[in-house]
Amino acid sequence: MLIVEDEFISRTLLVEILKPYGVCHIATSGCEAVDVLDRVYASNDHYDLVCLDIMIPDIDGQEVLKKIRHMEASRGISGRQATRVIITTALEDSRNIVKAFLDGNCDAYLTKPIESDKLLSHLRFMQLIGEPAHDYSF
Amino acid sequence: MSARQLSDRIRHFLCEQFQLTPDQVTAMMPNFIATLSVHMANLEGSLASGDPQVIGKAGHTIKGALLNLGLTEYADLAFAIEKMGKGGDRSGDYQARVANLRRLIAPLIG
Repeated sequence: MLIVEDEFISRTLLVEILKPYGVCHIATSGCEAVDVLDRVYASNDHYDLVCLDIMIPDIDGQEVLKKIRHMEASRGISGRQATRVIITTALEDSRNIVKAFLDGNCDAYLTKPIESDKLLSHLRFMQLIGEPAHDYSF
Repeated sequence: MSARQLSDRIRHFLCEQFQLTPDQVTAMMPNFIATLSVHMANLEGSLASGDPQVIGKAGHTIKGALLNLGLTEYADLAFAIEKMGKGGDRSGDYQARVANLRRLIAPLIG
Protein backbone atom coordinates (compact mmCIF):
# COMPACT_ATOMS: atom_id res chain seq x y z
CA MET A 1 0.00 0.00 0.00
CA LEU A 2 1.15 3.51 -0.74
CA ILE A 3 -0.12 6.47 1.26
CA VAL A 4 0.40 9.82 -0.45
CA GLU A 5 -0.26 12.54 2.09
CA ASP A 6 1.76 15.61 3.05
CA GLU A 7 0.09 16.34 6.38
CA PHE A 8 1.69 14.46 9.27
CA ILE A 9 -1.43 13.81 11.37
CA SER A 10 -3.50 12.54 8.43
CA ARG A 11 -0.60 10.39 7.27
CA THR A 12 0.03 8.88 10.69
CA LEU A 13 -3.63 8.02 11.19
CA LEU A 14 -3.90 6.37 7.77
CA VAL A 15 -0.82 4.29 8.51
CA GLU A 16 -2.27 3.23 11.88
CA ILE A 17 -5.51 2.11 10.23
CA LEU A 18 -3.85 0.26 7.36
CA LYS A 19 -0.73 -1.28 8.86
CA PRO A 20 -2.53 -4.34 10.29
CA TYR A 21 -3.38 -5.26 6.69
CA GLY A 22 -0.01 -4.94 5.02
CA VAL A 23 3.15 -2.96 4.51
CA CYS A 24 2.47 0.78 4.18
CA HIS A 25 4.84 2.93 2.21
CA ILE A 26 4.48 6.69 2.33
CA ALA A 27 5.13 9.60 -0.01
CA THR A 28 4.75 13.19 1.10
CA SER A 29 4.60 14.93 -2.28
CA GLY A 30 3.38 14.26 -5.79
CA CYS A 31 6.94 14.04 -7.14
CA GLU A 32 7.94 11.53 -4.51
CA ALA A 33 4.81 9.46 -5.22
CA VAL A 34 5.51 9.41 -8.97
CA ASP A 35 9.15 8.43 -8.34
CA VAL A 36 8.10 5.57 -6.08
CA LEU A 37 5.41 4.37 -8.49
CA ASP A 38 7.81 4.59 -11.43
CA ARG A 39 10.32 2.36 -9.65
CA VAL A 40 7.67 -0.14 -8.60
CA TYR A 41 6.22 -0.46 -12.12
CA ALA A 42 9.74 -0.65 -13.59
CA SER A 43 10.38 -3.71 -11.45
CA ASN A 44 7.17 -5.31 -12.80
CA ASP A 45 5.42 -4.88 -9.48
CA HIS A 46 2.55 -2.65 -8.41
CA TYR A 47 0.77 -1.41 -5.32
CA ASP A 48 -2.60 -2.99 -4.54
CA LEU A 49 -3.79 0.27 -3.05
CA VAL A 50 -2.87 3.93 -3.23
CA CYS A 51 -4.48 6.37 -0.80
CA LEU A 52 -4.03 9.68 -2.55
CA ASP A 53 -4.55 13.16 -1.18
CA ILE A 54 -5.50 15.75 -3.80
CA MET A 55 -3.75 18.81 -2.39
CA ILE A 56 -0.13 17.75 -2.15
CA PRO A 57 3.07 19.61 -3.03
CA ASP A 58 4.78 19.59 -6.45
CA ILE A 59 2.32 17.54 -8.48
CA ASP A 60 -1.28 17.45 -7.30
CA GLY A 61 -3.19 14.24 -6.66
CA GLN A 62 -5.15 14.51 -9.91
CA GLU A 63 -1.93 14.49 -11.92
CA VAL A 64 -0.49 11.62 -9.87
CA LEU A 65 -3.68 9.66 -10.55
CA LYS A 66 -3.39 10.31 -14.29
CA LYS A 67 0.24 9.17 -14.19
CA ILE A 68 -0.72 5.97 -12.37
CA ARG A 69 -3.29 5.14 -15.05
CA HIS A 70 -0.83 6.09 -17.80
CA MET A 71 1.90 3.87 -16.32
CA GLU A 72 -0.60 1.02 -16.06
CA ALA A 73 -1.86 1.49 -19.62
CA SER A 74 1.67 1.54 -21.03
CA ARG A 75 2.34 -1.81 -19.33
CA GLY A 76 -0.99 -3.36 -20.27
CA ILE A 77 -2.19 -3.46 -16.66
CA SER A 78 -5.96 -3.25 -16.32
CA GLY A 79 -9.00 -4.72 -14.59
CA ARG A 80 -8.31 -6.58 -11.39
CA GLN A 81 -4.58 -6.08 -11.82
CA ALA A 82 -4.95 -2.31 -11.72
CA THR A 83 -4.03 -0.42 -8.57
CA ARG A 84 -7.06 0.58 -6.49
CA VAL A 85 -6.92 4.29 -5.80
CA ILE A 86 -8.81 5.92 -2.95
CA ILE A 87 -8.88 9.70 -3.06
CA THR A 88 -8.70 11.42 0.32
CA THR A 89 -9.90 14.97 0.35
CA ALA A 90 -11.88 17.63 2.16
CA LEU A 91 -15.65 17.41 2.35
CA GLU A 92 -16.30 20.54 0.30
CA ASP A 93 -14.09 19.39 -2.55
CA SER A 94 -16.79 17.80 -4.72
CA ARG A 95 -15.34 19.13 -7.98
CA ASN A 96 -12.06 17.31 -7.38
CA ILE A 97 -13.88 14.13 -6.40
CA VAL A 98 -15.93 14.12 -9.62
CA LYS A 99 -12.81 14.88 -11.67
CA ALA A 100 -10.91 12.00 -10.04
CA PHE A 101 -13.70 9.57 -10.94
CA LEU A 102 -14.19 10.84 -14.49
CA ASP A 103 -10.63 11.60 -15.57
CA GLY A 104 -8.59 9.33 -13.32
CA ASN A 105 -10.90 6.38 -12.86
CA CYS A 106 -10.37 6.37 -9.10
CA ASP A 107 -12.08 3.62 -7.17
CA ALA A 108 -13.40 5.45 -4.13
CA TYR A 109 -13.07 8.63 -2.15
CA LEU A 110 -12.95 9.45 1.53
CA THR A 111 -13.44 12.82 3.14
CA LYS A 112 -11.42 14.04 6.11
CA PRO A 113 -11.54 13.21 8.92
CA ILE A 114 -11.05 9.71 7.58
CA GLU A 115 -13.37 7.16 9.19
CA SER A 116 -11.58 3.86 9.64
CA ASP A 117 -14.83 1.89 9.25
CA LYS A 118 -15.48 3.46 5.86
CA LEU A 119 -11.93 2.94 4.69
CA LEU A 120 -11.92 -0.71 5.72
CA SER A 121 -15.31 -1.29 4.15
CA HIS A 122 -13.96 0.07 0.85
CA LEU A 123 -11.01 -2.32 1.13
CA ARG A 124 -13.37 -5.25 1.74
CA PHE A 125 -15.52 -4.25 -1.21
CA MET A 126 -12.38 -4.10 -3.37
CA GLN A 127 -11.46 -7.53 -1.98
CA LEU A 128 -8.14 -6.22 -0.75
CA ILE A 129 -8.83 -7.48 2.76
CA GLY A 130 -11.06 -10.22 4.11
CA GLU A 131 -14.14 -10.02 6.27
CA PRO A 132 -13.46 -9.27 9.92
CA ALA A 133 -13.31 -12.26 12.22
CA HIS A 134 -16.59 -12.86 14.03
CA ASP A 135 -16.92 -13.53 17.70
CA TYR A 136 -18.57 -16.82 18.46
CA SER A 137 -20.35 -17.67 21.67
CA PHE A 138 -21.12 -21.19 22.72
CA MET B 1 -11.57 25.31 26.82
CA SER B 2 -8.65 24.33 29.02
CA ALA B 3 -5.64 22.35 27.82
CA ARG B 4 -6.92 19.32 29.73
CA GLN B 5 -10.39 19.58 28.19
CA LEU B 6 -8.99 19.96 24.69
CA SER B 7 -6.60 17.08 25.17
CA ASP B 8 -9.32 14.80 26.56
CA ARG B 9 -11.61 15.72 23.69
CA ILE B 10 -8.93 14.86 21.11
CA ARG B 11 -8.07 11.60 22.85
CA HIS B 12 -11.70 10.54 22.93
CA PHE B 13 -12.17 11.44 19.25
CA LEU B 14 -9.06 9.55 18.12
CA CYS B 15 -10.12 6.44 20.04
CA GLU B 16 -13.65 6.53 18.61
CA GLN B 17 -12.96 7.63 15.05
CA PHE B 18 -9.89 5.54 14.35
CA GLN B 19 -10.43 2.66 16.76
CA LEU B 20 -7.12 3.39 18.44
CA THR B 21 -6.29 2.21 21.93
CA PRO B 22 -5.66 4.76 24.68
CA ASP B 23 -2.01 3.69 24.70
CA GLN B 24 -1.69 4.31 20.96
CA VAL B 25 -3.26 7.73 21.35
CA THR B 26 -0.97 8.58 24.27
CA ALA B 27 2.03 7.71 22.11
CA MET B 28 0.76 9.85 19.22
CA MET B 29 -0.38 12.93 21.10
CA PRO B 30 2.96 14.72 21.61
CA ASN B 31 3.76 14.56 17.88
CA PHE B 32 0.24 15.61 16.93
CA ILE B 33 0.34 18.63 19.25
CA ALA B 34 3.79 19.57 17.95
CA THR B 35 2.51 19.27 14.37
CA LEU B 36 -0.49 21.45 15.15
CA SER B 37 1.86 24.03 16.61
CA VAL B 38 3.94 24.01 13.41
CA HIS B 39 0.81 24.38 11.25
CA MET B 40 -0.30 27.34 13.39
CA ALA B 41 3.12 28.98 13.08
CA ASN B 42 3.06 28.42 9.31
CA LEU B 43 -0.38 30.01 9.07
CA GLU B 44 0.83 33.02 11.06
CA GLY B 45 3.96 33.15 8.93
CA SER B 46 1.90 33.09 5.74
CA LEU B 47 0.34 36.43 6.67
CA ALA B 48 3.65 38.15 6.02
CA SER B 49 3.56 37.00 2.41
CA GLY B 50 0.45 39.09 1.75
CA ASP B 51 -0.46 36.47 -0.83
CA PRO B 52 -4.03 35.17 -0.34
CA GLN B 53 -3.15 31.89 -2.08
CA VAL B 54 -0.29 31.20 0.35
CA ILE B 55 -2.54 32.04 3.31
CA GLY B 56 -5.31 29.87 1.86
CA LYS B 57 -2.96 26.93 1.49
CA ALA B 58 -1.74 27.26 5.09
CA GLY B 59 -5.39 27.47 6.17
CA HIS B 60 -6.14 24.28 4.25
CA THR B 61 -3.31 22.40 5.95
CA ILE B 62 -4.29 23.31 9.50
CA LYS B 63 -7.95 22.66 8.67
CA GLY B 64 -7.15 19.06 7.76
CA ALA B 65 -5.19 18.56 10.97
CA LEU B 66 -7.96 20.04 13.11
CA LEU B 67 -10.56 17.83 11.41
CA ASN B 68 -8.48 14.74 12.12
CA LEU B 69 -8.25 15.75 15.77
CA GLY B 70 -12.02 16.20 16.00
CA LEU B 71 -11.84 19.97 16.56
CA THR B 72 -14.48 20.67 13.94
CA GLU B 73 -15.50 24.16 15.02
CA TYR B 74 -11.85 25.25 14.89
CA ALA B 75 -11.52 23.55 11.50
CA ASP B 76 -14.46 25.71 10.36
CA LEU B 77 -12.47 28.83 11.28
CA ALA B 78 -9.49 27.52 9.33
CA PHE B 79 -11.77 26.70 6.41
CA ALA B 80 -13.05 30.29 6.38
CA ILE B 81 -9.44 31.49 6.10
CA GLU B 82 -8.77 28.91 3.38
CA LYS B 83 -11.81 30.00 1.37
CA MET B 84 -10.92 33.70 1.64
CA GLY B 85 -7.36 32.99 0.58
CA LYS B 86 -8.15 30.68 -2.29
CA GLY B 87 -10.79 33.12 -3.46
CA GLY B 88 -8.10 35.78 -3.71
CA ASP B 89 -9.73 38.01 -1.10
CA ARG B 90 -7.29 40.84 -0.31
CA SER B 91 -9.60 42.91 1.84
CA GLY B 92 -10.48 40.33 4.51
CA ASP B 93 -9.12 40.58 8.01
CA TYR B 94 -6.86 37.55 7.98
CA GLN B 95 -4.90 38.83 10.98
CA ALA B 96 -7.95 38.80 13.26
CA ARG B 97 -9.12 35.40 12.10
CA VAL B 98 -5.70 33.84 12.53
CA ALA B 99 -5.31 35.48 15.95
CA ASN B 100 -8.69 34.07 16.98
CA LEU B 101 -7.66 30.58 15.94
CA ARG B 102 -4.38 30.96 17.85
CA ARG B 103 -6.30 32.08 20.96
CA LEU B 104 -8.56 29.04 20.81
CA ILE B 105 -5.84 26.42 20.40
CA ALA B 106 -3.23 28.20 22.55
CA PRO B 107 -4.09 26.12 25.65
CA LEU B 108 -3.08 23.07 23.68
CA ILE B 109 0.02 24.28 21.85
CA GLY B 110 1.22 26.97 24.26
